Amino acid sequence: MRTGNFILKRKDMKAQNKIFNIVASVLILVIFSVSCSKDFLELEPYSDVSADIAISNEADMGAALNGAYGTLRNSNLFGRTLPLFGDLIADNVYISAINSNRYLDFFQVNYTVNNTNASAIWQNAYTTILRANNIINSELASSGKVDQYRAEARAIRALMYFELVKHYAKPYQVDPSGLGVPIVLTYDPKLKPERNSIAEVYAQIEDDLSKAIPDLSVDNSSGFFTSYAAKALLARLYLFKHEWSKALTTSQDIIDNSGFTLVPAQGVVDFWKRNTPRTDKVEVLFEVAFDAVQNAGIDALDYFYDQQGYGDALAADAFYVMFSATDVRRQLFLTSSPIRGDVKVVNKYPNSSSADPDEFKVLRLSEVYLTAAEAAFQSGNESLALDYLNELVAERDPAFAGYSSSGQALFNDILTERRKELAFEGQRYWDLARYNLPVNRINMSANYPGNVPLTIAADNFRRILPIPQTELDANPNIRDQQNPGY
Amino acid sequence: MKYVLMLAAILLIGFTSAFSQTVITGRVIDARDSTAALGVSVGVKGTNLGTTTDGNGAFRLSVPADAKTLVFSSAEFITREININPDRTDYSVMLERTSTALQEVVVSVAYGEQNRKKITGAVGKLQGNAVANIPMPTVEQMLQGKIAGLQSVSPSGQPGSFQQIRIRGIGSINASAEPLYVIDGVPVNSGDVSGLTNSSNLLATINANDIESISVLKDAASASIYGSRAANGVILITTKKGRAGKAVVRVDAEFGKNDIAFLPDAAVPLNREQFKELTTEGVLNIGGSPADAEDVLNSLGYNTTANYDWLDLVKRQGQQQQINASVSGGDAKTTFYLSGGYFKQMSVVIGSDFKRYSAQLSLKHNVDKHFSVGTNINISTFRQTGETESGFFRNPMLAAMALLPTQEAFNADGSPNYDPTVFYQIFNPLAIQQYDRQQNNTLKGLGSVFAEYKILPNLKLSSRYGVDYNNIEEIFYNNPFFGDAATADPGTSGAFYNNYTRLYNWVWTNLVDYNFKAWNDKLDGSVTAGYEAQKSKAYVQAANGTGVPQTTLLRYPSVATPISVGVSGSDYAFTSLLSKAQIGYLDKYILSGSIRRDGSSRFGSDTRYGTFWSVGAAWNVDQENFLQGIKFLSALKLRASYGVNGNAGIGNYDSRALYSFNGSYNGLPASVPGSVGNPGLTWEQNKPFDIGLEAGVFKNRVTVELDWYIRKTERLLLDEPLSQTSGFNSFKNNIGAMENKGFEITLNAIPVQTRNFTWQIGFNAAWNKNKITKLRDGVNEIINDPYIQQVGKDVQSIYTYLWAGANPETGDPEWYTDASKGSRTSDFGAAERAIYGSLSPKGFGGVNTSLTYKFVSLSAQLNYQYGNYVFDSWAFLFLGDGAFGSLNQYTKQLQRWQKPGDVTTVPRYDFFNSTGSNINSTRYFNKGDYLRLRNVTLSVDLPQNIISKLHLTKLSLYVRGTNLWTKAFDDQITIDPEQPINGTSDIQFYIPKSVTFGVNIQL
Repeated sequence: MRTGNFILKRKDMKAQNKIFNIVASVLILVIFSVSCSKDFLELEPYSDVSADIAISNEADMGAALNGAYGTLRNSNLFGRTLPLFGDLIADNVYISAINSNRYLDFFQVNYTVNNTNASAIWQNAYTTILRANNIINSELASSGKVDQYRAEARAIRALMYFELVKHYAKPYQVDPSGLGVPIVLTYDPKLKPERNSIAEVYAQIEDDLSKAIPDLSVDNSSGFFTSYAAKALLARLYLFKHEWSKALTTSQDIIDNSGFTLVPAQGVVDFWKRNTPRTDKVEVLFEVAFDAVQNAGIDALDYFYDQQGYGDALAADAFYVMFSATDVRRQLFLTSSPIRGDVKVVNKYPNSSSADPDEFKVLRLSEVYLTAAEAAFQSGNESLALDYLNELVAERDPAFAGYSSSGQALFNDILTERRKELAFEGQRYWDLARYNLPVNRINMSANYPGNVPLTIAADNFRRILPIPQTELDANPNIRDQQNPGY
Repeated sequence: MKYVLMLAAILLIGFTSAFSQTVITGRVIDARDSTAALGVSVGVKGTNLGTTTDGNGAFRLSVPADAKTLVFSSAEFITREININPDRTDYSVMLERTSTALQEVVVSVAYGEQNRKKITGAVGKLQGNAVANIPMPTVEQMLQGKIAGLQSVSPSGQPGSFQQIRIRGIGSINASAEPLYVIDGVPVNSGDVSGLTNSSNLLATINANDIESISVLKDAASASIYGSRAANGVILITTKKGRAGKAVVRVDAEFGKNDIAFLPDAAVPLNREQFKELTTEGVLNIGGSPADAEDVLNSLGYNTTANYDWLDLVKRQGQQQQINASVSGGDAKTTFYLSGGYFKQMSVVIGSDFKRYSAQLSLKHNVDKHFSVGTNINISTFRQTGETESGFFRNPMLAAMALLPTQEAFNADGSPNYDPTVFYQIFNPLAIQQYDRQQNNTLKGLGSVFAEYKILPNLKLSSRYGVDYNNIEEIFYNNPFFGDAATADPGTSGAFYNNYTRLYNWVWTNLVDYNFKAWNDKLDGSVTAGYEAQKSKAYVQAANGTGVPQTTLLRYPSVATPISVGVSGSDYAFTSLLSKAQIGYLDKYILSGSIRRDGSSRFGSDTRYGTFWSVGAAWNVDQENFLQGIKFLSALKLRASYGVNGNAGIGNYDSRALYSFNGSYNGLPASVPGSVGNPGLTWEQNKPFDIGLEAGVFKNRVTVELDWYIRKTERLLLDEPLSQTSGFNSFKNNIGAMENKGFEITLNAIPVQTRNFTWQIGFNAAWNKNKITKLRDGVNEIINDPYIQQVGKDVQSIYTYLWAGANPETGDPEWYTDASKGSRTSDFGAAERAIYGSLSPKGFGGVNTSLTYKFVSLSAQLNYQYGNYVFDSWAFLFLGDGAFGSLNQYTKQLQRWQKPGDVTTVPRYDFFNSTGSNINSTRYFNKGDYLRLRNVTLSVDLPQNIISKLHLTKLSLYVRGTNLWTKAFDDQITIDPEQPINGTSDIQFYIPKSVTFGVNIQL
């Protein structure tokens, strides 16, 4: 092959020496850059670390635990949906005719497998469980702090499984061997689990709490799980299982030994105004802390009740009138809305417009008293039941002489008092569900948006949520295990 | 490594040499009418020496003694080469008018330029004048309908927003399917990196008037040299450069108005009376009394006399303006191009504006005949203002659709009313516009310096260091009086967010180019080899606080309560070795090949290197003897190419299993599992095969370019859904395969060409068929309601419930129970989802034509698209049969069922129902077939005798209409049929239609 123009002219000869230098340089450059490119391509993220070293000491584990607590703030967990659901699908709360369409389908008991709130409960609960699992399963050696953190993670995991099994499975009493939710205790992204039985899920929760309680040694603020908070959750679990004596002894243990005191009557309004966790052992055993930086914002429960916010959810008129004029809890309502007029507004969460909005109180001593009363009643000890009930009522309605009913009337009084004390905390529906009782919405409001069923019978398939379509789509093993009706 | 690079650069600078010159003069003549050909560039082949012809077609040029060939080129004429006769210094040259794209001789290709005849790949090419003076903020927007197989649409109506481009279909599912942009040899960061504002575009800084040409590399032979980023095509943008000769001064100015291009009647919001009628009916339908209905209406403002057309309040006649000025020229040693530009677009929605100032400098200096240096610098800044789109209460378009005529817009003093008892959900958009601010200021510096050293006339070393630097400053201010952040407590009322984003990307490219001839010049070839390193670093500072002062006068208000500050960063790097080679025999048979080895920081250390290659061949059949007898055939070329390229368009750290340290709980720092990770993650692999035919007849009066392609994408970077019980939704995996195959045609013809009259017509069309060929083992579908990815089906297939309309007896909503459409049901739970067409078009393209009579010309471009569905994703609010009874509704809602026997697709109107009739179903999908008159321009080139009296070279005036006419073929459509790639409307601002008047002056 003859090449054209390849003859060097004389005057280029001097340059030619340099050309070789250049060619050599380029070659060196290429070779050198390839050999050093390994470092060049090794780029670390700025605000993340590799998952396998993320929990390698006590401080890391503490941070990971805070991450697990953090998801509880999600607006589809305790941020809003969980505490709203329990009142909305029952008879305490309704959606105003003037609304942003949020949760209307819950109120109208007309949701499908595509319901975004229903799927988000599932997703976020399991996200929290993963965060807890990673802490529980980490290989850090036992130490005071490590054991404490692990135990808190177990309590968080128990709390999430409890919420899952409540929302997606039939009440324990109806069919303990029925389909619960998948129990996932280790991280395996490729797992496609089937649903475990309801009894297995309850056993898992009980196991986690029992293992957690002895290790929860730190006297922490109400923003974290302590041993008595875990016991309160356990007492609630026994109530759901109708294990009355265990429910009674566990709640008595808390009342007698925790050092916690009921919030007194004169403190109730201020109690609900407080927007930070407390260490004074008054009332709150565990609450999810929301602060100025980390909160659910306009997707929070308080904003949904606040008439300066969405204000879509209102208290049922018929419920409001159940509070006597001397009941301090009546002061937790406003009786008109600038937009919706003469309606009853929930004011239990008054900090919606504060930079630091309301905490959500998951476990309170008042509930433990009510649990003790109910468990005592179901164990046949009506006088003990009345003692616990009246001890609480005295601090809510000082003018009231106290209950002296018996039998079914006493049972009804306990449930009514539970309804009033724990109103807007997402408990009402579950008090009916664990006895498999129908929801009867009587004279709730003249301001209904329409298409609202006034009775939700015990056999209505929508009393439990559908397994989300996204889960059915991604997990073939659960596809045939959808709750009937959906 | 850098030291070695520097050493190389210093060595390059160390050369000087002398050379001798002769002067050549001459005149260039238009062969059509024997008049002077103006502004034709005259250059010496193989150098950047050159000049342009003056008003008499004359030129004068100093050329080196060893110069062999003169090249005459211009957009209007077919490029001609003339051999320099050493004994002659005066030349008279006739040039033929160009008719079509096939004749552009030199085309920008990857890492260089190439003679069109020698190109073995599929390259779409656009001259700069096709994108000049178009009333659109971004260059990419202008490409729709201009290049066969290239789809360009925006997911936002904000002027200057991110533009989605798909070349030959969708090649990726979860990795980026956007092409790589290379501007003057520098691969740049593109896309939307805004954090607080609506939608922005890193390339919105580019002034289209500074563009010399755009090449779209579509197949393996043309694009694979860009390796791991070539899978979805490459767009090469070449900016204008100076030419030696008399300086050319050019000024372009235009102004105009914008209006809504297309608003279907079905989607116009109801007036006061219509809404009253509907609401009354809706309350009665759920068992309410007439008194109840009146109560409801009163609660919705019917106890006032307010009566507003909110759509009218929110839209406006937007202004449109641009002024561009440039000077270019130079001498044998130095050439330059310098320009400045101003562009302003006010969208048709209040508050949404875009303003850009840009400057461009390109400079090249020949130190001697071996050594030259140069730079291209573009510095540009734009400001975008505008509210959020989508379903936010502050979206003015949402407000226009949703606010009721009875909501009082103004206070007694004429100021906008923001009383929260009147605007309790969706805010008054007039007040939002007046009190709140969302702003994006972007500053981009895009520049490169380069040095070239010719060791020999045919052996060149070059080094280019390019920098792509972006500063994005965003503010988002919420007033303390009303709206998203207003509270009763002044300490926490209002909010101010501030983001600063810096994106710095450098690329160093070092190349060796060698070309040769052999066998008495019968054989010629070229080889390029080089090394490229690139690193991009992103840095974001974000701060926000609440409790802003109770005044709106402060542009940067202080905050009483700081909420959070944060810094984040994200980097990527590439290193590459690359080479391409080409060999041709007698310009008849051409073979090309390329190879590139890329390393990317985005993948794990075992999987980060990939090798990409291509082979191509072209046969210029017209050069064969057996065709010489066929006189009417002026060009015929066959070409084919195949190769492998890749896609690394995923998150910078997607392959890593990470814990993110962000957020806190109860004031304590927190960490959370951030990603599943996948250490084996690697390139998505694309294997394009292309066959092309290019032909011209009647002296290329008619040309046609046909391409058939099939590109198979393997190892798709897919978000594999996980059971959510794992705590994650999905992870990135190389699973699945997909293919796109299609056909493209570009046809150009000049049916009439006389001395005074020319009629040109062009047509480009593309048909693409996408098919998923594989997903995970054992998994044939991934459902992502209302979409599905299913083996054998288009990647954008719709999978949803089949809407059947209203039950004629009861008015209840009904769905078909299954795909057979055999039976209907009112029980949503009894309906099954089914595949219902795709969001991707079957075909799209454009038709353009121009008629020129003497000095007047009329041109037009008509774009079309068909065979896809578009999804009105927010129609559930406005066409939900009362589910959102307190919001205004589409006119289409009036077609509701009213009495037994009514046959309609719109069910009974039940005030605040949850019948599920507004759950996503085929109800909200309409056919997306459309025709749109993208451009129509009438221009007058003032005759020579007038402009010479004004001492000008050129003066033309024009009036241009953009998107003046739109035809949507589905008369039930509720949105503009020109939607983003995913076919889904998100209550964007309207696409505008514009009328602009302009003037173009050349000194």
